[in-house]
Amino acid sequence: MSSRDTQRAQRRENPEPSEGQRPVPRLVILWIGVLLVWGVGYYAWHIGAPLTGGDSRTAVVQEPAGSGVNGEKLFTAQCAACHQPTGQGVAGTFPPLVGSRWLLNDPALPVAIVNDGLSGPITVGGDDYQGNMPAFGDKLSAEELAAVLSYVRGAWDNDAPAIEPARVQEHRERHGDHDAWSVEALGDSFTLPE
Amino acid sequence: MTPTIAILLIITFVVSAVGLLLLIWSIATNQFGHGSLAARTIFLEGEEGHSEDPARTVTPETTDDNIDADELRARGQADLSSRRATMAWLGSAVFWLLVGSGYGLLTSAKFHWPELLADSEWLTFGRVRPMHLNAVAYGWASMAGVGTAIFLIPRLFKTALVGGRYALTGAGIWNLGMLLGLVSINLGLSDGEEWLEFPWQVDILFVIGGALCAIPLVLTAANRRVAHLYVTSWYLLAALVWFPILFLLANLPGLFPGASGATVNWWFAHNVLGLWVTPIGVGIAYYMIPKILGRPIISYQLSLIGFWSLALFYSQVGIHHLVGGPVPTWLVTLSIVHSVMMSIPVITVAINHHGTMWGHFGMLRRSPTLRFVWIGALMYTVSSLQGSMEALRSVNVITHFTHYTVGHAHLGMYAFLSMILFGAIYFIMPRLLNWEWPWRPLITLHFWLVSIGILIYVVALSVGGWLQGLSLLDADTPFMDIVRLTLPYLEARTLGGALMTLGHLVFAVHFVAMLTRRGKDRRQPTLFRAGERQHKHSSVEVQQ
Repeated sequence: MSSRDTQRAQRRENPEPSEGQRPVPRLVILWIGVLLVWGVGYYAWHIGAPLTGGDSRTAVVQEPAGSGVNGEKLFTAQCAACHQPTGQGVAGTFPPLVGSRWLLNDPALPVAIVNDGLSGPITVGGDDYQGNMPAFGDKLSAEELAAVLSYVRGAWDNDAPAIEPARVQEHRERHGDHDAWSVEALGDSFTLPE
Repeated sequence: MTPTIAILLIITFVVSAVGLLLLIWSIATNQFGHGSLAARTIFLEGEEGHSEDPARTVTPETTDDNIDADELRARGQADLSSRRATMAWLGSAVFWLLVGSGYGLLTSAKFHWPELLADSEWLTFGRVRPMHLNAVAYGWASMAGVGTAIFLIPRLFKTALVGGRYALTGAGIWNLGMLLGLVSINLGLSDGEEWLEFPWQVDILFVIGGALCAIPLVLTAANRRVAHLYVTSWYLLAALVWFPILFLLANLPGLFPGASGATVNWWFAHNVLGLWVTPIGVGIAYYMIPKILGRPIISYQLSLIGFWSLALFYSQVGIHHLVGGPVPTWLVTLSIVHSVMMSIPVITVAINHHGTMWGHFGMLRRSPTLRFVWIGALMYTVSSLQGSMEALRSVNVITHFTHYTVGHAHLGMYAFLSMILFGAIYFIMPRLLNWEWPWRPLITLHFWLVSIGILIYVVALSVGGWLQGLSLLDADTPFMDIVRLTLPYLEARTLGGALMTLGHLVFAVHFVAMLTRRGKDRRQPTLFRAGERQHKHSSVEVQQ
């Protein structure tokens, strides 16, 4: 084979490429100048921006957890099965919440009972009950517990002031992971209503 | 950001930019001894001013008159020396393109058809998606880019490739790395950072394979027989120097934990685009456009600005992926400024490429190489300017974490880079095999399938991604409503991806047919359409 046959494509090619000498258009020089000025300005403009995050967008404002907690819904979900939606309880089995001085007098008592549970005999409104109240401290946050207690203290005919989450927090810090209270144990730590 | 940090940034920025402009000015005005004159003398005697149609029929009479015997000998020697290595890298690239397309299509389908093959752990989204990325980025784009560089560098330096056997061995090791890397990802042994999924033990193979290829190319450059380095060789050599450094640093195990790891991750991932595939793509376009038109690139000065500003500005842009992330504000701000400064190299390269094409767009109708490469060059302009916009905080707040970014990535990696690589392969193979592409309709079919495919792909994801971004900013819109909103666009993306994959199958079949020398033994190049002049000459052909 002659070189004519072996390099067909190479033969019909244009020469290797090269560069012309057209000067840089003025608009390009102008654009470079504009960008340099813009770059300096952009840096300067970010003086005072937060040091971390690298972003100027505003995060969507979320309501702090707790203020959106609904005491009534919590009551329906957690409490109403025993204490009944009316708060009257079930005679001889589950004590009533309406008018109960265990609930309405010293806020520390209901916080302790709901947070840690209660077992053993208890007298509510003149009737005796065999207490078997479960603990809610590991199910409900301080905000939720305060919300549900505030709800029952103000619902139906009850008219006691709300309970702040801080009080629940304080109880948890003071008593830690407490077993279910008995009435005697409650009497050692708190002022009993009757 | 404190005033001190801002002032330091401003001083660095101004000093480096002014220093760069001084460097460019001194090269352009011949302060270093050779420059503009050397650029002009690149034409061999008797060649300057010849504008040749690549579609021109080759008749022995015209050819021998036009081409300098030394030029032809150098060209033949260069092509012969790089032949086997180039074919190994390009052939492997086409194989990995098919693998990568298959996994890409599967990934895309899973977005709107989540039950598809979901009960096999080998085919879950978390594994097939990185397999797609790594197959196309390191298998297709990188191997085709290296193959083209192996072909072009001996030509640009008018000398034989030194150590072609090493480059051939390098292809083998690189392919082994690809295989082991993809299998590792499929087994769930991923490094867990995007673009860096291959385990570092496998990465060693890429370092060795790449080095076996880079060293011959650097030695070839040292053996050069030209006084002036044409712009393509700057880009190709720079890419071959930059990429190993990036790849090695980013893959060093255990060096960058936590937020600094994320910073290095995106520094690397964006530099794969800007300092590896961009210089390859732009360099190839700088070669193919003037080569096929037979006209010089219009401006040496613009080439200088384009190349050096890319080198200065690109390395810092990747951090714009972390706008809103846990990295210092000054770093993100630096990266945004540099992202916008990228419009300087992009605009200068665009003027050079498209200005050279000006008045010769008619040739796009016939030359496959020119059509693929020029569309790729045009998409480089579009995707880069789009990228500069996306880095701005006001735009980023909408497009970040949406399908818009994916559309942009494919505009760059596919519509820009892959189109240019297709064009380069159409140019290179006839010169290596001394055979013409067998079937013209297959080139036409390939072109339209991938062009329409990527058009649907990018438009669908850009529109869908933008709407998705706007909805995500509205806190009242339920998340599932946003997911449902994107579904038609994701289905369109699968349609576009299917067309592209089909185009790749057509291309691969044609590539294999070319390798096995199917079709007729012809002397005319295979073009989109036969020109009138060719018909006239066809009688001459028959007589020969």
